[in-house]
Amino acid sequence: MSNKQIINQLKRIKSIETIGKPQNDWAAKNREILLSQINPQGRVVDNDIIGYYWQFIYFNFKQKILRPTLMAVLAVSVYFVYSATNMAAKASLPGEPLYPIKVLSENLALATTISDEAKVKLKMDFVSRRGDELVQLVQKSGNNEDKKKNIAKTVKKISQDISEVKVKLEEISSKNLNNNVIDTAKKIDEKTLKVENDIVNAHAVLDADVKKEIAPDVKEAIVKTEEAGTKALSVIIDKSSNADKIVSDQEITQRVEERIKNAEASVQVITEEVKKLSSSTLSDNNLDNKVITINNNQETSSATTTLKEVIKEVVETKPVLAQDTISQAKDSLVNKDFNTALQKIQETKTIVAEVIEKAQIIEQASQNVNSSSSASLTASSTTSGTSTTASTTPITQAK
Amino acid sequence: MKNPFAEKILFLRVKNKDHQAFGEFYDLYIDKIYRFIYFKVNSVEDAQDLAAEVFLKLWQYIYEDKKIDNLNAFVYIVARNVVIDFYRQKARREENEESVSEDHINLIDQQSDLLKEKIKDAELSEVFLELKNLKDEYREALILYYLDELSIKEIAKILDKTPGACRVLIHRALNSLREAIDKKNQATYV
Repeated sequence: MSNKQIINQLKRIKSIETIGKPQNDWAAKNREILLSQINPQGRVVDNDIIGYYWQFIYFNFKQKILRPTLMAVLAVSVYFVYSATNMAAKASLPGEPLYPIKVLSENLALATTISDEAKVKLKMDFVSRRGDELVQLVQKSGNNEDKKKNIAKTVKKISQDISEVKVKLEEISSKNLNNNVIDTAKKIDEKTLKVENDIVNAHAVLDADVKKEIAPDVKEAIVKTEEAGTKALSVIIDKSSNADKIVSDQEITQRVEERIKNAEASVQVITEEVKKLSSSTLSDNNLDNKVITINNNQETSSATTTLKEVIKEVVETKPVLAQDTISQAKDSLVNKDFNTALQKIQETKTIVAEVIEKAQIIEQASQNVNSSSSASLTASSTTSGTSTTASTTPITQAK
Repeated sequence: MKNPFAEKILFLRVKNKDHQAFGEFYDLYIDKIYRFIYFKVNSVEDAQDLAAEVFLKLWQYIYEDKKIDNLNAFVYIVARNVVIDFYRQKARREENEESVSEDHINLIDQQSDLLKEKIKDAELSEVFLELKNLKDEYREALILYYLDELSIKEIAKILDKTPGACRVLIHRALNSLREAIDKKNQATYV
């Protein structure tokens, strides 16, 4: 028997007396008994039919129109409040009241992303956002102390996050080198260029006192961003050396060229910056007889030299060295030696970072010398385990 | 009553303690409630007593202004509870009586003969008997859906399950009934 036949037979059961329905006599008699039980006095309730119709209309209005409308209005309001808060939070900068919401939503996005490649890409997007925030923070007017604190915090956050990106990229590229990993590496390559630009440009327009304070952090951020970018490019180069050749030499050349241009731009920015320093400090004859001791705590070694010599190194030697290294990178690129080109770009960036850091130490030292010839000064900074200390004393005292 | 609008007005009148409306409600539901109970207790007398009790209890709920969202589903919930109470009391009684009396067995036999007389169609008889033997949960779902023509939403409320679970239950119940009928037919031919 088919299901349809069974259903038809089931429906027929309804009509069988004593099985599908009660005996008519019993049903009628029971009705009488029931009504006499529930209404022994035989009271008649006023039958306000119109009232019932109104009740029905009101009930339906409440159920089918009012309640859904209220729910919809509530849902739309919640959505608008959420969107507005989210938009405002997205545009917020470190130190602003909505900034924690921005950070929270980013953490939430990271926590809900499953694939490792997608996580790294997302993290890189957030590092890029920190770069944007840094540029905006620098342009922002307001309390200098808070601004300084927030800029320093943002630069440190970039260093920290970009290091995580690099570590993750190393992890996923060591497991396998599929197209997703290559896409991730490409994104990191592009975004690190942008972030480096953001850092260098933001640093160039900072006030002297802020520059002085965050110079070591800036150095660290530039070096780490460059390291991550170089790592990403080496992952792409590795893929191009494989038999399947998913990434063409032309594309790699383009990417390395971009990186060289970026390094050149950074060198340009620091050259401009040290020019300003040179015009004010090199002409100062007081500096001729001052010594500066630069201690490198990591290597437990120190070098003593005159402040003027250090200035010359930072103002003249280092920029020239950076230009030379870039030229070498270009030559390597012409010879399709991508790895050497990358190494040279990284060296250039390290020089840029060193100049940024030393320029601030020199400026601080020279200011101190000018303000008091007998005073001694210690300018110290710490960058990821490397501590550089510069101290100046009048040459007569030192001798 | 096929007119949902008129049915809604009737429910409003019943909720407003209108005796006459309750009488109309009784006319509308007595067949369904009696059938629902009959398939659970398998006895005409018990089904009659329990059906009468259901309507009386329902009136008490209405009279005491207890919250009733869906009267259509609520009357079945009352019926279910009345049957549960009936079996509890019966179990207690049977504990006290050492054996089932001969009179009781004779009564069941008489009822079976009566039903055989009423259902002369072989196919209908087959479906009816297998429906009675079906798991209580399956039988209940089939009666509510195919005989009483309740909506899935109402059945879900009565059985205290989700609409999805009710759809699955009805599907399984129908398949189980068909399998039981097929099995019996095969055994007869062999």
